[in-house]
Amino acid sequence: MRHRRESTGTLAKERLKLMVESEPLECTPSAMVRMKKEISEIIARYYEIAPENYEVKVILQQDKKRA
Amino acid sequence: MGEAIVFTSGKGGVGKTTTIANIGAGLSRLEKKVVMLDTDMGLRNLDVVMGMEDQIQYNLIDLLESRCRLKQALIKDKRYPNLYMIPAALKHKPVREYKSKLYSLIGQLKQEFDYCLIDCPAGIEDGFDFAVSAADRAIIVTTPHISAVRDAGRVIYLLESLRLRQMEVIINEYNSRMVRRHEMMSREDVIELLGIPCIGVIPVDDKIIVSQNQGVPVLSLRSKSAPSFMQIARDLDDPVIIPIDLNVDDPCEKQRRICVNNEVVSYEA
Repeated sequence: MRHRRESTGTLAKERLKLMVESEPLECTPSAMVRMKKEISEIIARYYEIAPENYEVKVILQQDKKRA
Repeated sequence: MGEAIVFTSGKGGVGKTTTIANIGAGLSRLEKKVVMLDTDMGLRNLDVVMGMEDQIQYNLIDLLESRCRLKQALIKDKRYPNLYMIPAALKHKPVREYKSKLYSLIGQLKQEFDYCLIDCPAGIEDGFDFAVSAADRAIIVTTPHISAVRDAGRVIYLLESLRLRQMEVIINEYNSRMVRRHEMMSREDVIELLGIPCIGVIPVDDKIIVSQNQGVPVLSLRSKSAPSFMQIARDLDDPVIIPIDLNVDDPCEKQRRICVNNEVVSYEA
């Protein structure tokens, strides 16, 4: 069952992806994941749509992006 | 009263952050209270290496600007008791104006912690100046690469011209087989070139990448480099005599060598 357990290389890539995505939002990776999940739950109230058919993107205004 | 030790190198990528993370963990195992400070503004990494990126609420700049209390900026390690970290800010900030505030913060930390380990950014500009300014002692991390040793020499020169006196070198990514074949500068070569004592040698180790992928110190895995980091932690804490328990399988006992005043001494069993 070697391929089932996640290799550390894959883990590193996933951690980095979450970090890169959450940094401009100035929150922790897990806070971002939680926020997106909550937004998805709201969307599910209005659309009958599978999660893979839409994307949640949050953009902070006022040039708050990484310096 | 604790001790503030800055880990610096001049050259980047030689293992400052790795060394801090593992010596911090090692000192924690020796039941010391340790705080690690990341001063590399804009390029923070100690949080990633320690697997703490998900717990950051405040950073060092927030703390220096009194936007939070010390307790709020300290991140506690989940595995190692009494091991804490204060992350750097993600935005690049001119640090020069914070030097005196850092000095008083470190004074405060030394009241509460046995060790304050400062992760210095690469380079010798303002960030270096900032990181070094409040330290009592410097550990210069180098590798046997000619460029790294050259930069270490430059850094030692700069530190000598500051008021810093106690300095030791750690040689990382050491390959004894290459040294035996005279294809790599030896520990003795580096000591001779830099003119300061060597407090430890870390062998090259693939497990360092594996441990950092997972965000844990390599000390938590079975690895080649873990005993070296542990030994450095012991030597830092007790530079005069390292206690040897003859009843346990101690690596010092096996090698029939002990470290006295940073000099490795062989002995007969």
